[in-house]
Amino acid sequence: MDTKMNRRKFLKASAISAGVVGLGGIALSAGNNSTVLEPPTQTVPSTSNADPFALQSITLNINGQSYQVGVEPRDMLNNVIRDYLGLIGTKRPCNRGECGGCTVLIDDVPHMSCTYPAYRAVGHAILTVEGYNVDPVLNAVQQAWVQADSGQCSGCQEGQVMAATALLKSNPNPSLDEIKFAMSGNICRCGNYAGIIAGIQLAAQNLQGGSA
Amino acid sequence: MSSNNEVPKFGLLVPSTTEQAVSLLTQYGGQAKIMSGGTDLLYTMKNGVKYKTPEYVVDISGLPLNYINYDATDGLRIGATTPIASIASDPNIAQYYPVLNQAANTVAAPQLRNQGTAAGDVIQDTWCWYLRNNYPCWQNGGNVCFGVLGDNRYYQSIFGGRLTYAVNPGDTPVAYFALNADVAVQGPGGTTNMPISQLLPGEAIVDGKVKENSLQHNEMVTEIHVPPPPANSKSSWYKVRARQSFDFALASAAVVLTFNGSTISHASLVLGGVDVAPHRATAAESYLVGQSLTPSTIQEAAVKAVEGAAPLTTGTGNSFRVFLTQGAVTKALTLLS
Repeated sequence: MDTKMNRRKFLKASAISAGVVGLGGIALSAGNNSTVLEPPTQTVPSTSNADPFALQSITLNINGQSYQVGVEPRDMLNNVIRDYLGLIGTKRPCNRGECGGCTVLIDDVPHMSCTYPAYRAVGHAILTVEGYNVDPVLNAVQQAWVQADSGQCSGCQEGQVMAATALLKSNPNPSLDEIKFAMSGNICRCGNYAGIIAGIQLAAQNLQGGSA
Repeated sequence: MSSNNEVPKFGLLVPSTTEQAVSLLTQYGGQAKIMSGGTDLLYTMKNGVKYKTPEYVVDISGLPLNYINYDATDGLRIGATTPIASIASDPNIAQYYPVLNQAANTVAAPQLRNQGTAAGDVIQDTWCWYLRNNYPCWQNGGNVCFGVLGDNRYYQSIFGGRLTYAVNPGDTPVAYFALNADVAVQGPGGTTNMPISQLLPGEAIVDGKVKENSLQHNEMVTEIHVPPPPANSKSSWYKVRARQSFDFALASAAVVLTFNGSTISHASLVLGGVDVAPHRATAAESYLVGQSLTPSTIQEAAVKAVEGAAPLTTGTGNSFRVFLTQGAVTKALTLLS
């Protein structure tokens, strides 16, 4: 029995039947291009909270938009992004932090979203593979990915794209060794590493050409 | 024995001080566990390993324990929640403690180094895949050690076991052992400082359960302190893994040598990934003192480093890792010659 799908379907169904009410796991609203968040008082909820198991309503900044969503303490960022908010570009291949396929950027730093508690993401800027229209580096990586034929089965692709984006943001002109080191947390079962490296090198070249 | 791949429900407790964290641990008895980065704990919880799954999680990621301070007389102080990535990129650590810099750069994957923390790498649970995958081994409610009987190539000790054969999986703890680090542990009675070998004794029985470290249920590591590097010392690290991208050590070696001219006056050589705790190779250490590094002394030291090895012969056997260990020692020493 696929409990993940059941939970997701259940939550979606209850969102419709309840007419979008403020309960756990249901997106309350998606702001319209609002890039400014309410400043959070704390990045994590306080102990004065009477019930430590309680659902909390948190606001996440994903790809420049703010989303209000109810989460349990056990909800990982990946569950929230995919299951509650429907941004299914971010994958969940292994769900154990062993493959890198779920990589998202949190304040431009790559993290495995399957192992990152959602409540910790409050107050941070999250970038997913859907954010190509708000992030020029991500956009360039995606363009180069197509040009260099870097993708194969797509199981790892979105995580690879995000890790590559993080690399080029911190190091616009990486060497081959730097690329391999930065991408070492992303496993490709097709073994298309040569294509992936070619895509990253092309993106770096295009970005530098564009800015010169 | 299977899990549904989701983290089971837990209650979230967020302390604002380390004292409060400890009192929460005390208040909830064995039902609460510290979470810092979470890369280890959340994994275990998703796999449904019952005896390692707490009802309450004390999230200390917001405590002011994210710092690296270096001082020439005091040495290095690393806060418990400092990400491994910060250790890996700190310029002082790179300059004065190359062995720690290099070890930190081989921990897991870039994403996990951004999240996993200094103390977490030291006190993480074993990665024996039978235990992690919730087999009913004797630690997990059964009466068998599958590591001894089954596939013990990767996660079981080559230096024999005591209560468990599962190796200490960390990389930075091996460097801390070689650097003679000590740790600050906060408990209900205040802070105690202990050598890292006391925190990681190989195995400890706490509250009637076998544990990888000696922490009581209401204690937490707050700081790791490394003394200043000895004058005229050099250090190096070498890690062998099954795949180069990211993996646990099949064998690793951390070396700190003090020189008088080209002669070694003090040697610290610690092996990782091959014993239930980082393994100090005392025979090789005493051999190296008085020698200089030449291909033949390095070879002799590598042979002495695995003195006392007792690889498993049951199951798949893991004697190949004795040779990998010798290779790791040879590489680490050669880097300094």
